[in-house]
Amino acid sequence: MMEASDTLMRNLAQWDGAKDGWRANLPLKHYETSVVLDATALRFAVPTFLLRLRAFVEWHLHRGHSVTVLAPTNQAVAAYMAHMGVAKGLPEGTFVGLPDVSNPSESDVLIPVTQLREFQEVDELGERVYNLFLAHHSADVAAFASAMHMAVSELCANAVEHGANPCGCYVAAQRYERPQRRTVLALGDLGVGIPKHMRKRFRDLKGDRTALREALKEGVTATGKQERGIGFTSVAEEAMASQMRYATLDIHSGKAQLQQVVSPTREPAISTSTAPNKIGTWLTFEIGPCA
Amino acid sequence: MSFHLDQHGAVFSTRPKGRELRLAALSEHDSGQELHISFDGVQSISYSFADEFLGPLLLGPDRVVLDDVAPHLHRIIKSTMARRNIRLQDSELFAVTA
Repeated sequence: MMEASDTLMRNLAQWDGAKDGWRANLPLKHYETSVVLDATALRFAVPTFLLRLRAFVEWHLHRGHSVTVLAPTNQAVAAYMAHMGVAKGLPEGTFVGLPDVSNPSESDVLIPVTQLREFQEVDELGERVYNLFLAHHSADVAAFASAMHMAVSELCANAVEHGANPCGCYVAAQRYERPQRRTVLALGDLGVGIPKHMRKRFRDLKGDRTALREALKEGVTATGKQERGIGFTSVAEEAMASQMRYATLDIHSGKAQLQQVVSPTREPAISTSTAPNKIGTWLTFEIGPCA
Repeated sequence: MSFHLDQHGAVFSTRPKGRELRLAALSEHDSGQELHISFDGVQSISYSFADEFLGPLLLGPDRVVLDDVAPHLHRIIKSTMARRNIRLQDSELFAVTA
């Protein structure tokens, strides 16, 4: 049967946002070559969850399974999913009940759910993101063009390189007005995950929490190249150089989650905790508002 | 000679792009001469791009001069040099500040 799919679904069902405390719990039915995911009761969603949902669907499609996702009956959540383009490019009928969105520009979506497999796609997205943010009507988006370009460049390139898998990696971004103005970039892949990747080179690393902490340190890299290992620190450094009041980076991978908080008024803080096992690596970078 | 980055874009993100453009710059460069790189029109670069594009060039035998680098890119380039332990005065590296 679909053993890996069960694991994936447990991952999905156990999603627990580090900050919002929100959990998803979607009923799933398995058949021989098809799955039906019932999202009708969903009342809320965050970008990272949509990426995981999309990854789940594409993982099945890649294996020749048919997938049906019953869209939320809550119209706001369904419209949000449609605006985020969670069903875009999938076979017709994969998502049942999502509305047509006629004017996506009216939404707060900055980057709809996008799949990346090649570095060239990261370069193209980086340029698109920089120009989109710079020209945005909201000062709380425009001010972070460089910071978000850095985050997209470093985090997406990491995911394409280290999280390599047939589905590639997924990225999305949106802005929020409430409870405070902020921009959120979500990123994820179904690769080996940071702890396992780190242990390829640092065999003595004990525990996934330690592995995530180590991965965040400047110059620490499993590639064996001295000049590498600057991705995460670069994202924090560029965020600090912007006019932000705070930025956070949440990482879920393996059996751990890590949160890094940077702000102009205090030392960077890193906290870790154990978490339900997750395939791949799932990141949320949040920045704002303007100081 | 001068290698004009803006002929290849205005926003640069990845290491492979940095490597590609470094090789392009070197292919047009006469060994033993100063290598001028024009940043005119460049809006944003990532640290990884900067490291991959500039790092090996700055460690190479020929002097590299960066022309028309926007102020906000100085920080990224100087941070890249520090990480590579490359010690150059601004006046040795940056020809004209835009």
